[in-house]
Amino acid sequence: MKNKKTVTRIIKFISITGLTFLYTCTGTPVLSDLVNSRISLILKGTYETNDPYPQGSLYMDDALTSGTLAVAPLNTSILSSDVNYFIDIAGIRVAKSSTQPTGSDSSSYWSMFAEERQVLCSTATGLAGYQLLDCLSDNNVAKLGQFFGEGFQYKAVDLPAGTYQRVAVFIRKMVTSPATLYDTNFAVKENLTTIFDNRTINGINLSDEILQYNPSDTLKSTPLLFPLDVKNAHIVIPGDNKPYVMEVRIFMHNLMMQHVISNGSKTTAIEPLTFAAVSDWQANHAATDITKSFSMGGNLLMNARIYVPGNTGSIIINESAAPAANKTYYAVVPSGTTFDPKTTLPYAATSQSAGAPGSTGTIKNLPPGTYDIYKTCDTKRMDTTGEVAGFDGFPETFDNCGTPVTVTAGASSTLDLATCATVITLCP
Amino acid sequence: MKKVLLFIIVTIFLPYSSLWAQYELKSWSFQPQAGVWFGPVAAVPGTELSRVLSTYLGGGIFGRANLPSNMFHSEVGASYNVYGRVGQEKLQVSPIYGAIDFKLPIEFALNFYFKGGAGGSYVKNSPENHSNWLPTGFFGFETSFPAGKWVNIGLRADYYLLYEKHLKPPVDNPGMKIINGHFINIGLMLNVNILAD
Repeated sequence: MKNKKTVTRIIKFISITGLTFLYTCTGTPVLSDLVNSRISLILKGTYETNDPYPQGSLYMDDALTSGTLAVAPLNTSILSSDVNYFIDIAGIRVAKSSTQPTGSDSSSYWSMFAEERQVLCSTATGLAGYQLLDCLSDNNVAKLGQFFGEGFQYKAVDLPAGTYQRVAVFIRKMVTSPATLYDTNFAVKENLTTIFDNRTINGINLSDEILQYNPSDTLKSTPLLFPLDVKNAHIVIPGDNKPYVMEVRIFMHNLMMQHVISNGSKTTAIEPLTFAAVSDWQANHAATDITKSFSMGGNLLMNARIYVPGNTGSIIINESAAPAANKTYYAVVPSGTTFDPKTTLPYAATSQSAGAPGSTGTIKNLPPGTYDIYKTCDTKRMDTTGEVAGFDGFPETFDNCGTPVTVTAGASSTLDLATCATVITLCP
Repeated sequence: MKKVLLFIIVTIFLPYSSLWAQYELKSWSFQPQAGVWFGPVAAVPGTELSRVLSTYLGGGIFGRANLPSNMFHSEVGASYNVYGRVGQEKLQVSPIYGAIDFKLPIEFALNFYFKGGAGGSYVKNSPENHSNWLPTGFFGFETSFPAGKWVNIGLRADYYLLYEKHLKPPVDNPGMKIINGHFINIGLMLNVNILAD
């Protein structure tokens, strides 16, 4: 009798587990969700979101065009084709709020969705023939070309649904070459070397201080490359299952400038150092100031956006004037949002190219919606007196068309700048 | 040659078969057990999930009673396992299963069990926080030794097949590749004899 009761109990247990087995036949694939990323993260080094300008020449800092340092061989142009880039990115993170609350820990504040290190290199060969192993692997030399073109795919995992305001790229190291130190007679003293990927290479590390700190940050307390961030990105990740593209842009391409630092050896001796870094469009590079000459941070801007492939349209912008000699872009921001070219990159932008009737540009991959159209161009540069007429690569000047354009999925909307509500005057 | 072989076989099995006979002669008596386990859990190496989930910890409870045979036992169990805590991605799996255990009929200091069964698993992923119940297949191996009259201490290794291939990709992501989950849980276990004679 006791045995029979036990057997009945056992049969009941097995029935319950059997029913659990049968209950489980509908709903969302949860395991598959982990190996199928919805996100496709693209990192670009361009102002443009599509069709970037080809590589142009380096701009020349004002310290090399006038003053005591504007002499040969210091002001001999560095060719853009001779500039090598070595960029080591630790990861990309997003956060829902713009600033990390005091006392909160980093792991709960940041969503660490792209934590794989990426190394971008112009070459995989260091000094004395040593190979840069991380540059050799994973197609990292070709990736630099993609970074300055249509972007490269950054490995990422999915993000929880929500709105993210802050997007941050943690740049661990950024090196450019050539970097030449001259003696007091302006004869070449040495070609600077630094360490990248555990090997010695020619070049100067821009990330330890040059691009890391703003010249006004005399205490060097606010790093600007670790991370480089945007705090009002307003990225909305929907709670559905649709694959989407997150595009992160850092404006470096066609923003490079030849700089000089008079006390390049960090002594009081005038031993100039010439190197390539981003333009000093935001605050003048104090080339002869012994305390500030090694600080020119804040000149890199970034932005991020998302779109769902297959649910985008484009805007074709036409105008009768021929393409301008300086770098001129067509840019859009979602209608109603404020555009300040000096604080953030436009939502999307493209280069101006020759076409009927005179110039044209197509901004692609725009989610359906209404957009304000801008034309941005480079007409100014920084010198010791502040902003003056000239070129430094950064399109700080802008015209608002004033006629919003509506984009629908799968279609192209066309705008002739002659029909704008506001006459385009600043970027002719 | 044949004779020699026969002699060896008989020599090996003679004492063994007598043990068997002795074992079977024991009258059947109800021997329920209840236990707990905890230990490392991981997606089976080489599977697609093993590339996104790292080894972490799991633990569970189980109850066991012999069927009207001293060799076969029925087992039910439930556990809570977390996979992958290194990056952003994480998977929580809570299987409930029923299984038939085969106890190797040898008299030795250690008991050996081979198990097979089925059930359902509640799964929840991060960061998306999607959850579902999935049909689950279960195979296990266990070895334990009695530490006194009441307690057994042992080691168990459980394999779970979480079957997901019957599900369709979501309508808004028809390209999603559907996979099954393969997990291996290894645990130190402690169980007690509820009705020790």
